Amino acid sequence: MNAAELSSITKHRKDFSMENINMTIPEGFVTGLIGPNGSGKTTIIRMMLGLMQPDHGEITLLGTTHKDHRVKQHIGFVHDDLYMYDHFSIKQMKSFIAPFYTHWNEDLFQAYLEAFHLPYRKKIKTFSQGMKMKCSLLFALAHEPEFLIMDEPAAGLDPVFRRELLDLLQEKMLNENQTLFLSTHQTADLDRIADYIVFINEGHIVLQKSMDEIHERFHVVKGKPNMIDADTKELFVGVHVTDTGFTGLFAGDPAIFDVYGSEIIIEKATLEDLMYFVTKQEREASQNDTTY
Amino acid sequence: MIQLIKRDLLLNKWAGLVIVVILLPLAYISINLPITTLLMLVIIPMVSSLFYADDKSHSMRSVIAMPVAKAVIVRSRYAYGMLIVIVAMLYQWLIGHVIVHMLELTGHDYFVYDWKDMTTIVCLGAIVVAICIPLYHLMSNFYAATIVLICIMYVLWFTSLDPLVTVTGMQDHIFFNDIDRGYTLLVEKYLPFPPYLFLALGAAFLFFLSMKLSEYVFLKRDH
Repeated sequence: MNAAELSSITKHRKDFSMENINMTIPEGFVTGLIGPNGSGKTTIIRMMLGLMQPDHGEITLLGTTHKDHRVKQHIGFVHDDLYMYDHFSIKQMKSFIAPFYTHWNEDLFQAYLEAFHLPYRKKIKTFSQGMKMKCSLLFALAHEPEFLIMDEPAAGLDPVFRRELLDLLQEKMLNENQTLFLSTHQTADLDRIADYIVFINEGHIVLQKSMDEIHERFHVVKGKPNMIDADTKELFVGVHVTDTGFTGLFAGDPAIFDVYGSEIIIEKATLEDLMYFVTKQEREASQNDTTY
Repeated sequence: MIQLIKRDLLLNKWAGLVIVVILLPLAYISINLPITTLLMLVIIPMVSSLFYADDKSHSMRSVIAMPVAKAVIVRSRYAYGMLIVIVAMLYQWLIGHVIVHMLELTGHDYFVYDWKDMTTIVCLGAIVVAICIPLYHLMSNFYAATIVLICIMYVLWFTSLDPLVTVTGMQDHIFFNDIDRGYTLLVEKYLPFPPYLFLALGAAFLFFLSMKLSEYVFLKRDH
């Protein structure tokens, strides 16, 4: 079963369009949403949470239409910032938010409050960016959601807490079989914890695969600059050539490069490699389209 | 709904305490200001300040993502607006009675609400709320909405001044402190029988229409 399904989603805004988005988020796994700035990650998350209305298409969350507010009883969310009245304290936030959730777990709330070292009575306007993110997370986790949606959760977090956060999320996934969907620029984080990846660029989905498939299919190939010409360039999803060598993203079986022996270095592609080369290639293609 | 009203009370805690609890009776007792006008002037900033807080914090993004229907989010603010009107009016009524009782020998003529005034005030409050809230939903810019609201309220007050003066019998002068007594007289003069039922139905209809408009805009709008 899928925790979320987006079918034929279209959204047009003044400066941005999203066409025919079809996406599934499998239940019980970590799915990462990656893409460059302005690619539509936040728009997708906001549509899922009901903050934006798609022009066309359907969104289902945990088997129910996203328009049914009751499904949100089982969903925890972390926005890219803490969108809350800045003169509220965590105490006041709790008195406002907790009664909305039938599964609110006060013991869990207190445990996370302590674990995150957050002040209970201090106004949130005095919080640092990292504290605000921890506060968002505190409220997202305290009602024990089945499905956690996070938009750039690592933004503003120091490396230590970021690592702890990933460990916590991974632990929850293992112990409680939760579904986690998160968008991030920190692709290294997803390399560590994601099971599935959705890559979006300029409002369309470029790739939607499991991490196993990505590792199996995508490789970074490095070699001398004289080895690359117009024909060999065609083999790659994207190539970056400098005076000292070339680096290219290859999709497929890397065995075809075996003939080059030690002249070629082949490595498994990271998500950052994937994002970099695909985005670059699409940008160049669109520029060429404009030119011709 | 109750949670959202509680949130609005939390947001208006200090404004409510200072404006309603202290300034409202103070203005009434010390300089005998027109209390109905004063009440309407209190409701507007209190409701507006909630939209300002929403606008500044983008908190609607969090509220909508919670398990609460969008229509309930909109309706709660209408309910809160009416709650302020009713509570502030009852508070004024209570203060009025206390003052009149305490100062009955001084010869001061304080205006204290009776049931007709109260009905008129609740209806006027409902109309003010019905004008105020949809403006903030229709216009994405808080400041623009506030300016439009102030203009509308000023025009309404200015156009009602002449009939109020006429109905209260002020022929060669305008005594602003006494002008509030004219609202019920106006209702009885201009509305057909039974005037208060007619007024209540009209205000309820406007209130309902305004709420539906706000709900529609809120549902369609991106947050």
